[in-house]
Amino acid sequence: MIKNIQEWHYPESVESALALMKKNRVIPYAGGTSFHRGGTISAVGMISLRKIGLSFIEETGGKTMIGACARFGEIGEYDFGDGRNMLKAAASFSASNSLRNMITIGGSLASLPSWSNIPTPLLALNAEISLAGTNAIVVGIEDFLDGKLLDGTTLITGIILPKAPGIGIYTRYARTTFDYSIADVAVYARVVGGRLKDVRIAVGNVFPKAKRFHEIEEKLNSVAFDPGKVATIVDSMKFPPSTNPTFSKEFRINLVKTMVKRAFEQIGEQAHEN
Amino acid sequence: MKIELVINQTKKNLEIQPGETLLETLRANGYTGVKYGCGSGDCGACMVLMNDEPVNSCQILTASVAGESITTIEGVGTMDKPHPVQEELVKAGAIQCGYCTPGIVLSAVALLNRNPHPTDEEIKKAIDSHLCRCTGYVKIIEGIKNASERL
Repeated sequence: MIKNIQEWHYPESVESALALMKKNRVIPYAGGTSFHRGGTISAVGMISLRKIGLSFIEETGGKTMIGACARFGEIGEYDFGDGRNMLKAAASFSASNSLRNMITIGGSLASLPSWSNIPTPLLALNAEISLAGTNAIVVGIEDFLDGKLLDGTTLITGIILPKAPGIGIYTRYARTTFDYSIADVAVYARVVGGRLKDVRIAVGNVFPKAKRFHEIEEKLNSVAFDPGKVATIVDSMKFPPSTNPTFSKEFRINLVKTMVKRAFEQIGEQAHEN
Repeated sequence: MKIELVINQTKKNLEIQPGETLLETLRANGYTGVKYGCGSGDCGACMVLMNDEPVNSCQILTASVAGESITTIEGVGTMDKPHPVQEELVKAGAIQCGYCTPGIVLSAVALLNRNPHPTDEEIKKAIDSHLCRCTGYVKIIEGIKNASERL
């Protein structure tokens, strides 16, 4: 029971939801799982987002548009047909079967828990976030994660994924499948004429927010795909992991580098098969 | 506030508190097969089916799912006519204290309705929401597998 809550609203459009968000202490409610994890909340009014028409995954103009209310369970079963399937993998590994039937991608990005497995593949896929309301804009995922665009009167309406004709590999490391992962890695690349192209490396769960490794990506771009050479460049990744009560920083640095190297090994194998 | 829910295929008009969870609503209205376990979506004791998909009722505010269809263990089988999943879990010795069992049955029923012949891996993924501290899962997977062969 969340005792503060006194009223519910059931808008049927994004515009109606945004109008309600202007009221004092009235907030949007999507999958709802973060409310219970967060304990008590100060809001007195809730806006159900179930009927505002954002529960979809659509192919439009060579891109995939995922409505903010699409649930992890749906994303985990959707075949994107290319490197974007690393988002499918991340969604299907997140949380548990029943929670995946509730957590929405928009809600996950709005609450952005440090254990979320969604920002990492979105970074490697150059995703864009569509916002409506006060800060209505389509913004790249890196800027979204860095910025403070969700101000209480701005709503995430969707996630846009450009085509990803290369190979995308997503992996997460957790002690058990349902445990929070202590590191997750998303690597995307094309192999053209034996050389790496369009390399993107994103790492999450070892920092408060997932991030890209642009410097390493540049070193790998156009390099002849030699596992030894790739491993040497990946070993030069430098980052300070945040504190974890169970695993040392040294372990997590080595873990991330190993996961990235293995992702490139898989990319090499899949490129060879193709 | 007043809302309507379809519980076990019967329309119900319910008086609820705006901040009440679906778990609290169901138990207050006699559906005590829904159990309170962790209260944080980690154990699966509170599992129900919403529109035929497993969800943690402790993580849902009832007012947010007004009008939806909910299935509890009471809607799956009875003492006289248990569901094949219930029968096979008993035969396999997959039940000891029984606290997790209603939730596991519901997750298994949802899986078999969608995928009548799942692999062991698919069964494991379908019940990854559940903690069972008695049986160690091997017998549970065996029971679900046996039920899939009967359906």
